[in-house]
Amino acid sequence: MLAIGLGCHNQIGICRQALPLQYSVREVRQETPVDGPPPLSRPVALAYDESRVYVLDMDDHDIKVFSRSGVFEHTIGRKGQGPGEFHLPSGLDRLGGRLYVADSANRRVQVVDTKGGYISGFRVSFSPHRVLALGPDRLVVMSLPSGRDGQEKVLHGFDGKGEPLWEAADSYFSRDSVYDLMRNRWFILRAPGGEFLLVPGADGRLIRRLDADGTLLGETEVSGKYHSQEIEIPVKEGKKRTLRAFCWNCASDRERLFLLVPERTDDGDLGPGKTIAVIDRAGGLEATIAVPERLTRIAVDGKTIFSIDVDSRLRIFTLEAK
Amino acid sequence: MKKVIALTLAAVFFLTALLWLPQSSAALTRSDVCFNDWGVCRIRAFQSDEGIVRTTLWLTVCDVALGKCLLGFTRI
Repeated sequence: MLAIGLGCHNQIGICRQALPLQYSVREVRQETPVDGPPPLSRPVALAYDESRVYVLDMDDHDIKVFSRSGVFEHTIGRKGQGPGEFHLPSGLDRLGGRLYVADSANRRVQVVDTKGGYISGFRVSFSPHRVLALGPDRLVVMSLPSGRDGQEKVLHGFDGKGEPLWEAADSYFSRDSVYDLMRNRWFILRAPGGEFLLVPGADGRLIRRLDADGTLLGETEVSGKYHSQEIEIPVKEGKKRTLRAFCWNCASDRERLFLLVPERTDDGDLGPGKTIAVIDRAGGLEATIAVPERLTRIAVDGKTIFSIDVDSRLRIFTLEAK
Repeated sequence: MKKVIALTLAAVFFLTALLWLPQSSAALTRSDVCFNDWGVCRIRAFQSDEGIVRTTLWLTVCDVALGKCLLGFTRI
């Protein structure tokens, strides 16, 4: 069970009034030196099981497999269009002994086992951006909206054979494809009971909970104690528009949501940050976790945080009270 | 006379069709290639983990490149 917020959860009423707890992390010793050459080119997604961490590398078109202490073990897949090959993969999930890959540029979803053996795959009519397996026979695939044809559905439900079952969640559309794409930064996360969460990356603070049929079960607004960060971005005709960045990346674990808080960079831009906010099921800010490096991706398993830092290195941390 | 005109028109029609069709099919191919490249550019930009403003600029470059490609200003 997760250590953070234990006292808090035993006294929920008091917890709501209290300041968020603060935690730091201790880095898990890695066999590979941190200052050594990074084995990852452009890691874009993380998954884990009881013994390994799987990192999807978009530029190398493969999955790199590490032990849970960060030791590199082997690679799954390579660049190509055949079974078990990928081209600019951008989404990864693990369920049971299977890895599910959103094979973006090949416009398909592929399933391989955790040793790299090809299991199955199916083509989709859009560019798949993220994938979430709710069961061996129920997949949720998120598309990257093209911005060309008005509002598009961003969530697509499939059965295990790739038969389309349902579509949900409209994309933002304002005829400015760049601005729209920045607002259409969504995340899908597994929730208990075969349900899943739709988390906005920008311009929203409502966490939607959906079931495996794409039915909206409810919405939770994240507490005002958690601040979205505003930034002006250049849009069409030399104008600027305000984007409210909600989170850079996120993860879910045991009914909690972990939001990677965007931070200002030296040049005034808004980029990956060094703080993870812990949000409880009611949307309350339960705790904040300070990490030593700017992180771009996170996955949480109890007290362990698997992450990728801005230098494309796998970083593994254990939570500690501050 | 009518027969000659009809034959000439038919010849012109078929010649035009012969000359135009390959271009038409090339134009379709170009469009497909342009949009595929645009899609790849957007995927890479979107997953870049550069700052938000930098990503926005990168996406704008993708759109400009798409326009140039569709207008035939870039080789494919």
